[in-house]
Amino acid sequence: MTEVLMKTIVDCATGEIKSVPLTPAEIAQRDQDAAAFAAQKAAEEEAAAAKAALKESAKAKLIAGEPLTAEEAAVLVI
Amino acid sequence: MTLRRFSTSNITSGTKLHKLWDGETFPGYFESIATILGTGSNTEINFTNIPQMYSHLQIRGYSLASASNEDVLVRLGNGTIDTGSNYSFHEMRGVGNGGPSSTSFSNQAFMYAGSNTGSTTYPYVFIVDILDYKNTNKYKTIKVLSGTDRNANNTTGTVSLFSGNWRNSSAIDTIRLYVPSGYFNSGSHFALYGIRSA
Repeated sequence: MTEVLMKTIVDCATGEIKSVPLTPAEIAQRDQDAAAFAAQKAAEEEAAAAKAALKESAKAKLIAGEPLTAEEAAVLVI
Repeated sequence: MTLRRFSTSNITSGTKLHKLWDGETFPGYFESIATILGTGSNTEINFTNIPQMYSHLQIRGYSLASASNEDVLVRLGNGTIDTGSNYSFHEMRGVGNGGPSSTSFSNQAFMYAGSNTGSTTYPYVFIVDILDYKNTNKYKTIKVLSGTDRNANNTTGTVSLFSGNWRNSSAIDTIRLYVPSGYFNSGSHFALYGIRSA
């Protein structure tokens, strides 16, 4: 059985609330949105992982008494 | 006693939005406009025809979505929802025991309102402030404070602070909250409030 995707709409002027199925155009938009969101999320996670790796590298160098790169120093200085 | 407006609907049925003022009771500064619940099949929550009588708007929500790590996103509009890449946002998140991380993104098709745990018992809660929503002389900025906790020390607790911008100077009369996949489980609750100026 195919899942029916619904949207809920409230008309704030009248208080009327209704749930209606998404139209084919809205489902296509939703698919497009999901792809865009996944891409944004991947970029966000990639940026966070790169920053975490830089911090770990900086931490290891500090402990070992080695000089930091400018990028490593930047993630440690708030 | 002063009559503000009459109700034209039946006394036992129909929507009662027209108020009778006793001439003494002072109207509140923080008023409920509308509330929508998750149904287990709705993927979008739309507030339409938002009254233009307030200074600011606030959404208070708790979300139980069908998928974990499924963020709740927000779009704005005037008449119709803007689905274009006219939004940007900046976020600061702390997940589990890890230190906070911050990122920013321009030219996006949405802003963040919150996230989800994919649980039917641990909601993700958020408060979205939409300031000066009807001012037509500037773009619109929102601020979101959100978080969740699941009694698991280092993995699933999250606190987030988002700012967002919609590059449009139209008055906001339509707001959409949605999950890009999945749906809002029953028990989810989204309430829109209007805030009057003092």
